[in-house]
Amino acid sequence: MAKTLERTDKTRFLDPQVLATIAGMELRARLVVEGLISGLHKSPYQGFSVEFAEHRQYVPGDELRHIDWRVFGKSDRFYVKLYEEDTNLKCYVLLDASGSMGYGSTRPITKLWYGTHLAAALTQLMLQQLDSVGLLLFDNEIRRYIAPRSSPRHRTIIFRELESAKPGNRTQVSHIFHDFAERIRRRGLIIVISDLFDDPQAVLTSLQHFRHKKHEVIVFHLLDPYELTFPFERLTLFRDLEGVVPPIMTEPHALKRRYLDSLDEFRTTLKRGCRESAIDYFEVNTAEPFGRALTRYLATRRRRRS
Amino acid sequence: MIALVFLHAWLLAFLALAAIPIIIHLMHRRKFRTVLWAAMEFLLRSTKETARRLKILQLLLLLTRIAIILFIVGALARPLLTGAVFAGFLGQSRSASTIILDNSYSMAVQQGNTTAFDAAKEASEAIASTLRKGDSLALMTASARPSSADETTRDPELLDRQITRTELSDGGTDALGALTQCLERMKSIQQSHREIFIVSDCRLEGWRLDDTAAWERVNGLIEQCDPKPKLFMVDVSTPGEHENVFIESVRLPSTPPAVGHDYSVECTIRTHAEEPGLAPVVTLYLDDDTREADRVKGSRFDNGISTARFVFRPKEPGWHWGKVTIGPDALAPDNARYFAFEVKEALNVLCLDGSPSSRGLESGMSFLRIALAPEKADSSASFDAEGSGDVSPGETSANVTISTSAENIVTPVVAPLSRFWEHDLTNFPAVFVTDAAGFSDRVAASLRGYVHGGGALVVFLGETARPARYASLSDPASGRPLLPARVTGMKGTAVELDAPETPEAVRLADFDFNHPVVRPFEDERDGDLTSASFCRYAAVAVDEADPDVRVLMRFDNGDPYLIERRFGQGVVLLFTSSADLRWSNMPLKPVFLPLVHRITYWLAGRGSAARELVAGDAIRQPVSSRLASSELRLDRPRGGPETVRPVLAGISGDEGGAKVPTLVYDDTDAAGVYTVRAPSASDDAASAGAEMHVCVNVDARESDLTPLAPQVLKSLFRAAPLEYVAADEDIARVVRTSRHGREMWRYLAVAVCMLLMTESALAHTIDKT
Repeated sequence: MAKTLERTDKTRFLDPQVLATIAGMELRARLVVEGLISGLHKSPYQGFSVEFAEHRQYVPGDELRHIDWRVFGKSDRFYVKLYEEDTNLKCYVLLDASGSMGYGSTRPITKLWYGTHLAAALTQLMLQQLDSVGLLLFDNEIRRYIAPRSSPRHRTIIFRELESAKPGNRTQVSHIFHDFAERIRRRGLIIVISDLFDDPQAVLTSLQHFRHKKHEVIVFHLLDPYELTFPFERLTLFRDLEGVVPPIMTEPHALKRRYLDSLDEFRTTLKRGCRESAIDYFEVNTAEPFGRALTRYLATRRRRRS
Repeated sequence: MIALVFLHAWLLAFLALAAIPIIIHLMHRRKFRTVLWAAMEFLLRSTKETARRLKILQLLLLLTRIAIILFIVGALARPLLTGAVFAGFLGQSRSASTIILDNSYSMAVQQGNTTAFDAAKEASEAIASTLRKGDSLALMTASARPSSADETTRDPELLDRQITRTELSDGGTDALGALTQCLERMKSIQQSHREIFIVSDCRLEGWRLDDTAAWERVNGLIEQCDPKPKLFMVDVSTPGEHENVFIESVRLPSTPPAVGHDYSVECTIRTHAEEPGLAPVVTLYLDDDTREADRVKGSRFDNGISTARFVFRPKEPGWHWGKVTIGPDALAPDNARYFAFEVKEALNVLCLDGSPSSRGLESGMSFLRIALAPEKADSSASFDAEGSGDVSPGETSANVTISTSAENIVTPVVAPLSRFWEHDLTNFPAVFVTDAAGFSDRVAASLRGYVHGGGALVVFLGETARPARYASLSDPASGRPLLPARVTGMKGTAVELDAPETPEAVRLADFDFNHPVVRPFEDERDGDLTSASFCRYAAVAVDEADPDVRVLMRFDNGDPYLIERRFGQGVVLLFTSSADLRWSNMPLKPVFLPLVHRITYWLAGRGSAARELVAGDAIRQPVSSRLASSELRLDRPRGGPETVRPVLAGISGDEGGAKVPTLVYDDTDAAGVYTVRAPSASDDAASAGAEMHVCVNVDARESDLTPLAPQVLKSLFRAAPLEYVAADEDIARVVRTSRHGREMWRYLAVAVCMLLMTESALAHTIDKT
């Protein structure tokens, strides 16, 4: 099957619908990354490598296993690959596993499902780049913390955790972020994967806390397409996934405009706030292919490195 | 009371469709989806702002949609707001209507260039114009003799012709009578929608406001009609017309006219105006209404009454008529009044002596004959008397020279009772009988026929009277007595000439001064009836309960002296004492002569009074037996002559009496002189002598133009409301509105359009919200 996968267009595995048909988190993560890479090779980003950061000329004492024999074959000169591990980046993937992340208009693709696979792809990508990756699963409290590591075995641990993630309690994003910001010592890359359904100002303040601690912050703001478009027509009884807000029976079309305005305001606030705080904010529609989100991640990494 | 009825009531079943929006709403609410939603805070924020407003808008929208359906169905059902109560839904029912058109003479009052009757006809035509296909209408008149319309019509043209042909009568109004007839007829009508239109000038007269029994009957008839008819009072009068001057009556003297003798006629002119004008000028016409016989000015109005007197001297015997008129005013028919009188050459009265004897002047008949015609008394009629004045019974009378009077036309024709057959009783207005022991069957039958035929019989009892033999005067078939009382015996003692003592006597004490015979003697200066004393008289049993019997005079002990019994036109007077001096001294009293004359004139003058009727009264006049099988010619004041044949009929008010040849004629709507002529070889009326004149006048009560207040009239109709339509209202519109109500579908249609726009706006607003 792997050969079969290799021969097909791997970019299609960026499509969540397609990916959902693949079993196994690890396989899915790998397919996403390969799909991404495959797509990148076809893209204007040709030449962009994710496997190593750059070459330098060989100097005696360098390990022979790092010599890029391809370059030697082409240039008859010895160059050593410089790997991402040379940057010594610690990444913390903060994945929101609260109840609200359990929403998905197209099963089985919930925000949490999307988030876990995005997190898995990012983990795969970063581990390939020899970065250290850690995982923080949270809802109204930290449910699971895996400290950053870069070993292959670490990937398995993370994937296992991601695969078993289930939506939990009510979201308390800002509180978790503040708490976590105080815990981590070394600077790193904070990747937030969440719907951020909390007070936006509080969220921004907590994200700024990371910035205050000199962390780089990337926010993947996951929203379901239905949350973005509110396409309901019939009389609908809305029940809170988190079980906090009482059910609301309403004519959706009558509320649509106000709901969307409210959501837009929320998104705008977050976007503006993140921009002002030099936080990379990416709004992710869970119906979109993973490539877009991952590409944004790579661009951020590229910018950082430069 | 306003009611809502529907012309297509069956469509109201579709009102149930109004439940559709509710059902849809409920079904819609049941058919909701449940969504587990994450972004609840955003939703909550949205609903907080719009929830309440949205609920209200949605509720309004639901109600609007329900109302649209209700109004559409309601409009299709053609609702009517009506002015009367109907039981149930009548739908488009046909109407059965009756117009009671007042054609009494008060409707002739001038209102500008037309009369109230013209206005009434116009109003009737307007009502007729509201006829729809299938409706029926009947026309009645409301004069004194209401004409009943037995046939209804659905033909508007025929109805118009009927209305056009209806003429004014000279009768008074009997609106209540017409209404009663109409309601009786209406009970059998099939149509459920019934209407009665009374088109009248709404005068006080004619409604019999005090006749509670009649009004109870009317209201009872209305109650019996199911459903009750709608009642309309269409008032065609205009205000300010009750200032009318009219001749209320013509009074003829009680003494019948005679050739060459003055005859006095007194007119009473009345007005109801608060400020009557000048005294009226009254014109007299005799037998010719183109030539004035006389003209006088009446007295000044006093309490609205003026009088005028005419005195003329008839020259020819026979029947004559007269007419008195006043100047023209707004109401013409009551400005003239007719009267008829029969001029006699002499007033012959037949005196039948029951006991012609050698008593000569001492017989009752002698005294009676002298009293009737004192100027004709011969020397043998004189007799010696001592003193003057009061003469006791039994004494020979003093010389009583009764001066002759050119005014006395009475001529007594004296004959023995046994030879009565030599005289035709019908030629005499009165027959006196004295001292009759009894009556043979033949005499009794003749006298019964005579009295039943309108004759007058005066009976003086006497010593020879045998009560048992008077029983033959009773009708052998019915047993009805001819005499007003039954003789049961004698009281007192007759005066004997040689009797040493005067027996006890009674005097007259109790008088019925309401009777024309007795009234003149109410003032003793005109004759002291109490001056006579009676020592013997017949005891009689009087049926006081009989309305035809009347005791005119009584003795001081209460026993009757003079009793009257009426037989329709005929009358019998019974004196329980004699006319001679053996039982009383009455014949010698000065009052005896005027009493006898008074009786005679009254008996002779009764006929002419009966021949004056008001328009609408039936002519019911006995005629001479020689005309019993003749075809008589009746000349009428309006219209051509008619041929009438007398019928055998009982005298009005005397059902048990004999039937006599009687002229019966009903069509007396026109005032004027109705002349009965005997058949003649020629058709020329002039050559046919007048057998009699019957004068028909307007009912003067109708001349009172005082209006009847609508509120008063409405209050009389207890069983159903009366809708009053004033003269200036459009009666056709009132009828249509009342009959059909006010159709509401247009308003509902407009409301539906507005509701549709509202629904659209609400839906749009909800969407925007």
